Amino acid sequence: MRSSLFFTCTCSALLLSTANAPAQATEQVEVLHWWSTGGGAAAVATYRDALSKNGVEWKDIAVGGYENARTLLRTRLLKGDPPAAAQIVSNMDQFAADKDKLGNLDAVAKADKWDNVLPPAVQSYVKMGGTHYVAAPVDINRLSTLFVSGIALARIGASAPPTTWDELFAMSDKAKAAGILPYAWGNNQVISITFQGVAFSVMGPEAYRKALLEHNDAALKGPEMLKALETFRRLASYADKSALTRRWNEGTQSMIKGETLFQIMGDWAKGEFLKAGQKPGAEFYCTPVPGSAKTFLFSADSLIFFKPRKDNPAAQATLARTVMDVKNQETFNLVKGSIPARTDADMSKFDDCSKRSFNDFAAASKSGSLTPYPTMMMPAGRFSAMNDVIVEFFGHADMAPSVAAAKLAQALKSN
Amino acid sequence: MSTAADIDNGASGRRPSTGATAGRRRRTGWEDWLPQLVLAPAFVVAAFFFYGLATWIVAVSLTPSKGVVEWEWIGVTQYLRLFADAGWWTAVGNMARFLPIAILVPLALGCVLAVLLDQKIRGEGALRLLYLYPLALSWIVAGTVWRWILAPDIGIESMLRKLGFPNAHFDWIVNPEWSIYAIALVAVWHSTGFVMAMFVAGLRGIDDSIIKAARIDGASMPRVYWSVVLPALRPTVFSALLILLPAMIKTYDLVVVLTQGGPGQSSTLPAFYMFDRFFMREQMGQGAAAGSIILMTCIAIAVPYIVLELRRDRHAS
Repeated sequence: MRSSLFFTCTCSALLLSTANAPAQATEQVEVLHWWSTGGGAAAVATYRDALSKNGVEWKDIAVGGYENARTLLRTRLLKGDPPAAAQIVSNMDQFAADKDKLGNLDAVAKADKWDNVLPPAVQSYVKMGGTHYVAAPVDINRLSTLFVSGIALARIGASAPPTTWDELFAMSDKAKAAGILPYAWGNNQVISITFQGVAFSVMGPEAYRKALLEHNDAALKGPEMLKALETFRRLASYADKSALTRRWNEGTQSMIKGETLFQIMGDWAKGEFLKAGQKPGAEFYCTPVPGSAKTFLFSADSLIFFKPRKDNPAAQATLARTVMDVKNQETFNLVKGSIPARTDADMSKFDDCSKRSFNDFAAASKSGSLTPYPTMMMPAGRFSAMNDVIVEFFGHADMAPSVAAAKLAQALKSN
Repeated sequence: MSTAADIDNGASGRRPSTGATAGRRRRTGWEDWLPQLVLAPAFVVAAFFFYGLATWIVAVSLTPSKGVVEWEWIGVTQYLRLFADAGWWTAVGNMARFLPIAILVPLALGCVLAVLLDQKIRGEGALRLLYLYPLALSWIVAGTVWRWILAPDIGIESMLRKLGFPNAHFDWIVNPEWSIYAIALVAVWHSTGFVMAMFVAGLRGIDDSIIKAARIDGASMPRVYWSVVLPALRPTVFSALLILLPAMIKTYDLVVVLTQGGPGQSSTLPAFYMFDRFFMREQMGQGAAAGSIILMTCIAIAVPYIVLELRRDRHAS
């Protein structure tokens, strides 16, 4: 089905590009993204309105699903017909093979002082080669978030979410005894996100970066990594038999019913709780993964800019200015449920989860512990090769952490 | 190919009668070109979408392409990388276990169901619809439902345990040794109804008098089916095979909705592997190499069959 979707997308892209031909009265910019449903679609609408107030029409190419959007963007680039801007969250290099096709936002960034309001870690993601702005970050997701079901927490007689791994495991044992699933394990994607969250909090930003982002051999086989793998293994021991058949949102749904206690997931899981009418701090908690209180593992949805066939730098500059405007970014994220990428945003209207997240984001950016999720910094093939090892380690309880660490190092270096 | 020949024969057969009247040479000339004109669009579409894109894939497999296509020739390096990848051999091994089940079981089951349905029973239409329904369901829906049915904690296993079999055991979907059979099971469920419909049509094409003659000769009903009806269904078996085989070789969506290749990499299939490398892992060259291998395998199966069919046509005429 994914391939048929892909064809539909390609066909609609062909249609769109031919429909472009008649001259338009107002200036317009094409934006390709996968905010196609629910909160995401509503959030995009706020940007669209803001842009039309600035005299430019936001021409939407909303594609269902991250992979489909990525495939369509690649197809458009292959045809030499890129959109004006496109949402990205993974490694930028794959879209930047042709440097001549990339836009340049340096002028806008300088005028609006992006350097002063974006944390260095975010800057290094959206700047090509660390020098030119080619993308604008519009939101931040915290990947090191531990979601806790308030209902399940009450059932085991606890009043607050755990702050250390020992507390977490003690609560897990109590939950198991009470017939509650301790952790919302799931398919390969869930295993991968969980591992990154565990590794980041157990190893600390310093060792984590050295090992998983810089592939430093000593760090990859060092004691921090072994500790992380051991903690991960212990958490894995709470997996039930059917865990692998579940998707992340099915795990979240089970937490909403109070049948599962914990889940490490990105901010998107919050949307599921809110949709079910649950309130943060009561029916559910979002708290940093134990040990990562003042640190922050993030992914940043960004709009990367290209030079489209009908080049219109002025309209594109307006688009960049609009999505980076602090008020617009607040509105966008308020609707979407994530937090702004600008450290000068006003968070008074946000919920407690987002407020806490944003405080930690600002603190981490000051202390330098703000760390990008590995997919943002490495080729997809390498990240997948790492996941293959993690999934294997998860499935084989007899695999020693040192063996897994050696395999990880091998996978990261050979891909 | 045989249709092209038919039309050609028809046109040339008509030529004497239309060409007989003098002074109509222009129309005759136009009619001479009609078959080619009519077939041209189909030819162009086939040339581009099949041969063109297949060539493109083979070409990409000879480049170092990762996230985007880079036209630089590196020979068979991607094939060497592919053959050195344990993941590819898992996928190939899974295909070897999956294919016989996913093809032979629907054929046998479909045939039996068709024979049973052919007994002129009441409500045959409704029953046939019931068996055909799996084909009408989208894989997203059917796959998700099957994922739940096969999950030990909420599916068949837990149901059996609640029914009073505390030792019931059915964990194929989460067992690395058995996950590929879970996929085969759902594939069988999906195509059996379709094969059955083909056999029912085939059975309807058999002249009743042959069966009656065999009955008069004293053959029992099972014997009639085994010795008279089934041999007459040979073409149906071949058509069903020719539809099932490519459909099963390119099985991809089933893996995505049921297991995503898991647990671990235990239930991947070549088509899934290809998509995973080509689109998800940004190893386009290696994915294209996998695609080329799948294509060549299909050709190796299809060409002998087509040659056989063409020969038979020639003998017949």
